[in-house]
Amino acid sequence: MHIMIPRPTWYAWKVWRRNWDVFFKTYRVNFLPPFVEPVLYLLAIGYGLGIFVGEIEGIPYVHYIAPALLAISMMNSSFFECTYSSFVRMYYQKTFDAMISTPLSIEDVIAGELLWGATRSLIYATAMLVVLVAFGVVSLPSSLLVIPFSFLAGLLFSGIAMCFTAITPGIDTLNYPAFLFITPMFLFSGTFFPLSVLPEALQVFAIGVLPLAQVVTVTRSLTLATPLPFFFYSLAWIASCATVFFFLSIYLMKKRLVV
Amino acid sequence: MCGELNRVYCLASPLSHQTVAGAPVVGRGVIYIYGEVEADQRKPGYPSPAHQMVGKNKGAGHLSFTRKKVDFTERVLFRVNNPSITRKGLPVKPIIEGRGLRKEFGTLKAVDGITFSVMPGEVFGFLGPNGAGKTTTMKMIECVAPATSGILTVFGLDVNRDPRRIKRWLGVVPQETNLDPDFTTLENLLVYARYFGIPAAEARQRSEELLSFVQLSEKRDVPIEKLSGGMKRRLILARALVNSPRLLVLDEPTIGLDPQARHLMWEKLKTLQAAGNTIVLTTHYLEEAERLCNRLVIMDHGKILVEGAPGDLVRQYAGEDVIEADYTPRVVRCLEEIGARFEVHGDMVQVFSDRPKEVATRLLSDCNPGRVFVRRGSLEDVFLSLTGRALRD
Repeated sequence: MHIMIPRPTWYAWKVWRRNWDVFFKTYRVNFLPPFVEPVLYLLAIGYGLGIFVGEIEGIPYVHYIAPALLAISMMNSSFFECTYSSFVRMYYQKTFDAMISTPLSIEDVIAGELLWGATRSLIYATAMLVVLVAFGVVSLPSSLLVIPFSFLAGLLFSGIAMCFTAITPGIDTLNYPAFLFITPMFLFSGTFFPLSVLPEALQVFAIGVLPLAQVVTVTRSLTLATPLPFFFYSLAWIASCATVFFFLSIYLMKKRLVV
Repeated sequence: MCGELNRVYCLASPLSHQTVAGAPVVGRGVIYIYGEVEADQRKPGYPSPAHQMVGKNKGAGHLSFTRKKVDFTERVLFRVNNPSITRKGLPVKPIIEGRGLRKEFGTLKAVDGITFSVMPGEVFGFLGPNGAGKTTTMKMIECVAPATSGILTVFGLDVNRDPRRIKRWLGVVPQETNLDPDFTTLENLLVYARYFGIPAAEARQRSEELLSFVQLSEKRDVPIEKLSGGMKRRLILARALVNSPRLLVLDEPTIGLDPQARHLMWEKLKTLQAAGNTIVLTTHYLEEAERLCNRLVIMDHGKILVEGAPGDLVRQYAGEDVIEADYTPRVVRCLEEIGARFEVHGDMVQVFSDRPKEVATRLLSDCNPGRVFVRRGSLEDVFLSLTGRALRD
């Protein structure tokens, strides 16, 4: 079969802008999680649990989990945007159908959704960073690089999410990737404890293929202002997979919607 | 087609904007030009945006112009009040042309090799039972669903090669209401205008105008969920007009509307046609098709069964008048004696005849028929006799 490489255009930003407008219509609700979540996690896990943990690899526990909170937030904000929210727009609201009756193509629409997922990751990471800086648990100025990085990481998770959205039969079956992929990743990607305590096979697996493990590595390097092992590997991994999933998800969505 | 309206709409190569200067006009008449010439093609003496130019030809090939403001811009459209000018002069090209158009979903032939053309300024209807292929045809015209085979051009452009340019000039009213529930009434129009790249100030002005056109100005800041079904359909019509389309594609525009809302929708569509728009629509309401359409096709199982003006089709397939009588063996025997064409539907006999009075009198006097009605033939008679009475899914 002849496979066409999808060619989204700048029209995608019009789709992005639609989602941006909706987001800021209800900004009070939307900005709640990035400000409240880190406070709760820092207090409960960082300071509460941290008393028993003390330090990990010479780093105070609360400093150790701060970048993980950022990485998890990037993952959740973009992944859930491009699964459940995109699915609702596609299937229930028929927003995509309305859009492709205009000069927008389906490639533009999906690219716009992916860019928006990435932007949401950037917005949440930035808001959370403000809280983490206020708590003094991240180093400056290197932590500011988290802001542009969160867009790239968001694009990666958006692309993966959109692939699931393209193949899911209904909204309920999106629970499979949410619970079998996102939740395990949330716990086993060097977030709350180092990968080195895991069996070697699992370590290799995490470093090799788990997207969140890569994002945690890069984010932690930035907030601690020291490049960790695998920093450049992880960055390259994220950039290349983000590109692959960007085009793959557009291709799969086109296959689903253009019949 | 030209003579029928005594008013002809001619679109001279819609996307290249050739104006009347290049057209050999012969005869006497008035030419109205609505429209805009793209900036790079604008020359002294050519029509400019938002101006109507009225010219009377004083002799062969000579035209003089006066200007008047009009509401509808962005189209180059020649409305020739004297059809003879058009027949001899400007060539009329179809707005939509489909040839051997096919669409298959696996083994299902949704559209099975249809050929049709829609001329500028006409209201063209696609009728047929559920599953006839109407919506699929609309989606192919909207450049949303690719055809399996065949040729389909809109504005003279291939739907596969130039979807973006075609869609720029298309106004679409889908069967399913797909307004954006995250926005208010006005915002729906503004956001949609942005997809077309219409500048914000212009979009705002146009949206307000359109809201008043569909009588929704009072609901401008209301969320979509608070609108009634009729209001939603009207808002969708307004949304379809936001880009000043040259062609409107309406898939069951009055579905689920009450009679008041339906009449308002008809009135709006008539207004749009009078302003020079070409309209393609599908409908299940045959009375609606009879009122609105200049020409229509009746489809079934993906094929076009007949094509023509509603009045002609009624005359041809149902006759001017239809006689209905109670179904009794005696009535049937009588009709067979007269040699009239009839069909039995339930407890009624329908008789198609060009001598309705004669047949009715004969039935009443000789056949003891119970009840007898004579009524005008309608598109519904044509539709049912062509597509049968079996239920569709």
